[in-house]
Amino acid sequence: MVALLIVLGLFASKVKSLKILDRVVHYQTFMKNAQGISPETIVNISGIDVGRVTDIKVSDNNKINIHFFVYKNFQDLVRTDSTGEVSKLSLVGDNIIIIKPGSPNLPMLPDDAIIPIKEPLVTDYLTIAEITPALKKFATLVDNLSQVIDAIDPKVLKDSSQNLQTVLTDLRSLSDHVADGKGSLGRFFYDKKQEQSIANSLLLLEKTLAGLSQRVNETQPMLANVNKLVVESKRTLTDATKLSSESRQLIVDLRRSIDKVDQQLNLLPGLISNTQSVLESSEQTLKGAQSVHVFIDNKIWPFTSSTEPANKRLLIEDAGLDD
Amino acid sequence: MTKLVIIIVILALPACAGSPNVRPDSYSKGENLLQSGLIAYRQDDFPAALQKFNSALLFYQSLDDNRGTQLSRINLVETSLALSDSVAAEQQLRILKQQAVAGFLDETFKNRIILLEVKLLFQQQRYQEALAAIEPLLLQLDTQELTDNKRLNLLATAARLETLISAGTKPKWLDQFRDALAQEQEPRQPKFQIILKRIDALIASQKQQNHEALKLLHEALDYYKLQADRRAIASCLEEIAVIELAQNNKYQALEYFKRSLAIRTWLKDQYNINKIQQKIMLINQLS
Repeated sequence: MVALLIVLGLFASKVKSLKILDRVVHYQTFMKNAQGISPETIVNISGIDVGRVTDIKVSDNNKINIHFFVYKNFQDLVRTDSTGEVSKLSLVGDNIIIIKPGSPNLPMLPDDAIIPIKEPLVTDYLTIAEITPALKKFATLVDNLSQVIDAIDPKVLKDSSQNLQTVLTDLRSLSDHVADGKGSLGRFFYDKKQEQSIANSLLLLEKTLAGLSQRVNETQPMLANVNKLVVESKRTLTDATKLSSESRQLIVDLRRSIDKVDQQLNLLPGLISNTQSVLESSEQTLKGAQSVHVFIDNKIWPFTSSTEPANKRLLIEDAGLDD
Repeated sequence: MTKLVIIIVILALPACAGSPNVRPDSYSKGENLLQSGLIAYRQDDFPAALQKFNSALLFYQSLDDNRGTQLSRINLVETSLALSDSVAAEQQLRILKQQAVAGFLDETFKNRIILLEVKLLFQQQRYQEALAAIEPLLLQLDTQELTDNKRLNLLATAARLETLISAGTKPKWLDQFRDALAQEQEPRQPKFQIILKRIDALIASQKQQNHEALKLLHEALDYYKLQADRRAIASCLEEIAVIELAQNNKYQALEYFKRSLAIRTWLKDQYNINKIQQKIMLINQLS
């Protein structure tokens, strides 16, 4: 009898601690990605668990409509400027919806109001949405650079430089002749050997210039491409900076989440020990109750080793001649 | 005083409860398997249903649970019939009949075994034998207190078999079925009205009144579509195709057969798939 009263007392205290009978205010929010959120996800304001998610639906515009409640005692904290965010606990377990308390001078949010919630940046999405484009751009950059390098023919460059060298040698020999005062400028022009030499030099010069011009023409689109690549590289660097700052934020959130889990884990042994004592008390009570049953009637319900008899339909219903 | 009242209430409460059946937890696993099978069956996923019922059968056999194995076998027969697998249905039914002869069959399943036998014979187009098999149940109609649904089911089955045998010339059970439907209490069950339409369509087609038969069959088809009853839709489509073919409307017949083939394929009913494919081939050869 005493054991039964203890169990009832424990049950009543459990009901009180679980706040089953407390009054609540319902709110809702819409999200694109509700990863890690489930009915029973905790709603937290200023570090206090103030409510839970009650229902998750899909709205007409294919967004996830999350309904949650906040205990009436904490409704004061939820004002028209309150916003929320989803903590990154999904990396280590469940998520928590964190609502930022609103300004006390603003009106309180009514029942069933919508609270905007910032969605979590999940690592999967980071990979897909952020890292992949950056890597793609980098790959394009390398690809384009390799095209530029491929387009330059080393043989052509060598020929051009050799031609240039011949021209310079000829010009030097010509200038040497002039410097040595061998004949006048007129004689120099009428000298067949010199004339031939100049003609050859000019031809070689023309050929070299044409080659150079062609190289310059070929290099122009490459230069334009390089310019484009520089712009893209700059953009990639911007993305990378953004990514790095978001990753940093993510790590900060993760650290906070781990601290939170750590706190919860510290509470776990106490909770387990309490549960164990409740279970022991319950077992004793049930054993006591069983003996009472035996005394009154032999119709014992063996609580520990059996289930309620099935009264379910287990046979296919006869539907007459099948088609 | 209060303590005394509490003690009396605590002691009296269990006495109010009925005597519970004491059954170990493991039995619920068999029931879960049967229920999963039933869900699959209702969703027309017959291969999955077969798998679940087979698992349930093995499970109950492992506990030597006679009623459980018989429940599993009956469900297996129904599912095999839904897949038009007469061989598998016959195999399980034979075991159930042997148990009935040996006196091991649960009393509540006896009539069900007869109905399963009738269904199997109907599927094998052994209509005379099917009618003979159901007659003992029909003769008990007046003496037994059956629900309206069971009574109408029996009469509908007998009327359909009788029409298939005698083309509506000796409508003993058909007349009784019509009378029972006329006397049916509100709310009336449209399912049986539709079965009557299909029987009337059969009679009309036997009398070469194809227009009337098609009209009745299309009404039935519309009803089955509303009910999303795949097997009945497929049957109606096949019956319509046969009448269209009788009127030499080959393209229409071909179309209805193809529509039915899609359903039978979805149901994985290999027997009917083969049957329809043969008919389609035959029509293609004719045209």
